[in-house]
Parts: sequence; C-alpha cells; structure tokens
Amino acid sequence: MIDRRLFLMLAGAAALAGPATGAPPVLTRPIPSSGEAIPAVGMGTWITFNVGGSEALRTARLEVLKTFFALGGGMIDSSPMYGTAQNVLGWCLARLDPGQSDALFAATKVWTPAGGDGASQVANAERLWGVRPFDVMQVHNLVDADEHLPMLFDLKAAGRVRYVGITTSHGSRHGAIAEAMRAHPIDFVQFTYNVLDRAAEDHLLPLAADRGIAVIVNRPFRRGALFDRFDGKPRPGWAADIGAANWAQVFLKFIISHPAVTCAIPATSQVAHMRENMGALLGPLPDAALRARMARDLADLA
Amino acid sequence: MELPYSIAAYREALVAFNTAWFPAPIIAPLILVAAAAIGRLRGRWHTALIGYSLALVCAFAGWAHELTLMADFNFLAPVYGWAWITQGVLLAIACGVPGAVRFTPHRRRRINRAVVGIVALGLIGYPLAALATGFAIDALPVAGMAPTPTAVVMAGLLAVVSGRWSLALWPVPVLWAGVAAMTGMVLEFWPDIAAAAAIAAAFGVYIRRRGWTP
Repeated sequence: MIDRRLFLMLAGAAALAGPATGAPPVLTRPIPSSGEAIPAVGMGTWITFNVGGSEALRTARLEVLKTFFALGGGMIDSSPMYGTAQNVLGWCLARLDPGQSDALFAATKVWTPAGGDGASQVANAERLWGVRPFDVMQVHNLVDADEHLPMLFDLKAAGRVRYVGITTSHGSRHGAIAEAMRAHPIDFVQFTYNVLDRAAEDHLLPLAADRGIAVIVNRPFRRGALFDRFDGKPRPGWAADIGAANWAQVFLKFIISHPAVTCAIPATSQVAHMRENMGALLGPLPDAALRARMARDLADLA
Repeated sequence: MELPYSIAAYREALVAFNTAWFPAPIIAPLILVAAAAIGRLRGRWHTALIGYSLALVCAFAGWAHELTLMADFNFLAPVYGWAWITQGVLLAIACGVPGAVRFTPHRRRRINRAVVGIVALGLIGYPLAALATGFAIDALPVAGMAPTPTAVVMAGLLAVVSGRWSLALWPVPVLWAGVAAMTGMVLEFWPDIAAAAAIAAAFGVYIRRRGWTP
C-alpha cells in the first residue's frame, strides 16, 4: 500500500495520460493502493441509464457512452439498485466497436436491502456488463457490509474483483463510513462532495488520504440542482483561469482539484452534457487558494 | 427524494406495456365504467358486481403494472404490486361476506355528483392530462391498468361504500395518494398530484358520510 506522502506526491504530479482511443491527453489520478492511474472524471448511471427495453432510449445512451470513451472516460459506476441500468450498460458495451471500451474501469455494487446473496449479484453484474474481473465492487450504502465485505475481499484474493469499496450518498452515514474506512482494508470509498455539499472536507477526505483510500465522488451536481441555482448567472473571472467553459466544468474542476479525490462520476443522458463534463479533464486545475476562493464566491452566488 | 427512473423512461415503457396487453387498456376501463354505472342502481347483486370488478382490476394493475413492468425500474415496485393484489383480494372477500360492504349512492345529489366527478377524473381526466403532458396515445396510463387512475376510480366508488369492512378498504388507496403525490413532485408530472388530491377528496366524502368530523 502506498503511504500518504507518496500518494500526495503522485496526486500533485497529476499525470497526463492519453487514453487508448487516441483522444487528447486527460487528467488522471492514481489509485493509492496500487498506483494505477484512472481518468479523474467518470460516469454515473443512476436514473440516466435506467431506460428499460426501449430501443430508442438505449440507442441514445449508446451515443452518450461512445462520447464518454472518445473523450477519455474510464470509470463507469452502477448498482443493482438502479433498475435496468446494468442491463442497458451491457447492451451498450456490446455494441461498441472493438477497442472503444478498452479504457473501461467497471465499478458496481452489491445491494441487498431485503437480504440476499451478494455473490450472486457479483455474478449477475459480470453477466450483464460482459466484464470479468470487475475493477471495483462496492457495498452500496453499507447495506449488510459486515456480510459483504469479507465476501468481496475473498473475491479480490481470487482475482474476480480488483478493488473493494464502500459507498454512501446525500451526505448521510459519514460516521459509519469513517468507521468502515478505519476497520477494513478497502481500496475505494464513494460519497457525495460538491461545491455546496462540502462536509466531506472536514473528515472523510482527509481520512481517505491518510488511509490511502481512493475517493469516488457522487452527486457532483446535486442531481442537477446546482445548474438550477447557477445557470444564467455569469461565471466568475477565475473560471477562465482554470479553463472552465461552462458551469459543469467549474463544478467538476472544484471537486477533482481536491488532492484526495480520485474520480467524480456525473451522470447524464445527453451527449452535449457529456461533452461538457469531459471537458473538465483538460486544462489547469485550481490550486488550494483558488479552491477556497471558488467556494466562497459560489456560496455567495448561490 | 428521487425515483430511480425518469418520466421519459416510464413513457417508453408504457408504450410496450399497453401494446403487449392490448386490448386490456380498452377493456379494463370499460369494466370500471360498468362498475360505476352499476353503482347508480340498487339491487341484490350490485355490490358484488362493483366489488368484484374493482377487485379484478386492482389485482391486475398490481400484478401487470407493478410486478411485471415497474419491478425492472423501481425496487419498491414489488411492495406496491403486492399491496394492490392484497387490496383486490380484500375487496373480493368483502363482497362475499354479508354486511361487510355495501355500495349505496349518497342521499345528497351533490355528493353523488362529486363522486361521479372523481370517477370520471380517473377514467377520462387522468389519461387526458397525461396526453397533455406529452404521453403518446399508445402510452396513456389508464384505469384498470395503471395504479394511479385505478386508485382514483376506486376511491370515488369507495366514497359511497358502507358496511363494517368499509374502512379496511381505504389504506391502500390513501397510501397510494401519498405515493402518487411524491411521484408527481419528483417527476414533475402534475396529473399524479391531481390524482392524489382526488383520492383525498373521496376519502373526505367517505369520512363525512360516516359522521366523523375533525
């Protein structure tokens, strides 16, 4: 395991690596437990990919996915809780041209709110995505974590899963998440963090850095609520300094510029929005002083 | 509060649902029209005819819409589906127990007109409202197929029900009003909010008829 000092050195270096598809070099971040670099902006699938059997909607999501990979995307996050999202993802992945999804970093979850077999959910995800081994398998919202984490560590030892993680969202259960981060040798932790929901800065982000745990950030746009608040308002002058051409890139660059963050996973159903999101992988990031100024200015503007 | 699916995904799914079950999207509302028409009559068998008709469409909506369609989209759909099936079973049993339920028009015409209005809202108003919000004609959620318009029609008919089991028939439609209101707000689909209000109004009629006042 990489220690905190080495991790911060790697994060500060912020290596630029070109994706296999030949897209422009994009910002990557190292996974502390292995040093493996992944693009700092990925894709979530909550609601956006839960489109059932509609051929029209699936085809539209295929275009979103093509754009994602073409612009340097890697991590895609899903869950059995997300309805048909994993089915739709698998359908889309099967229709990409050879090589288009080489950069896929597959992340999903086990979720058993009414009891159930986590191992069978892992097998089901492998079947639906057409992926094996999975890159990240997470315990969704810590449900039955005491049961699922040992199983996932066993799968990791057996090579079925590369990394193990835990998740929460909406700013909830931070105490339980912190406890699990201390108690278990997890590789990833996922929680909510954005320009207005910054509670994670107080404890979870520093703890993740200390423990060498990669951080996936969900709800980077508060499910679109940030756009409702800021759309139509002029972007502050520093937005141009960091190459943020739109509000999505402002929000994402704020998140991924935190040294403890590995990857943010905005969800979208639209190609145009995917283009905006992936633009955050290019250009400079704010330093600590500018991040503080951004937080102040955006809180005032909200 | 969020739902795991979008209104666009639901619209598309309803097209496939209504197509797969055709001609049920026409027959099911007609069953409810017949039940409402019977409600204006008095006779030995009219309670059983209304009750069994409602029981049939409740159970069908629960099974077809929630357990087979929405279960893919929404992890709560199985709970909803079994609640509707249970409501159907309860209605069917109640109709077979003497004195358990009686569908009896109110003595005041104004109340009866309100009940007819609520039933019409579920049968005609709700699908038309969905059409107005962008649902295609083959994607319309109709009473007897989708729980929300079914709940509106049922609430209208339950407003004029009496008998010692009558109160037991209200938890599912009243709780569904809450589900519809929440769904309407999250998906920004105002017909669901209107449906919730109609169910609440019908329950208010029932309560007043029972002589309960705040």
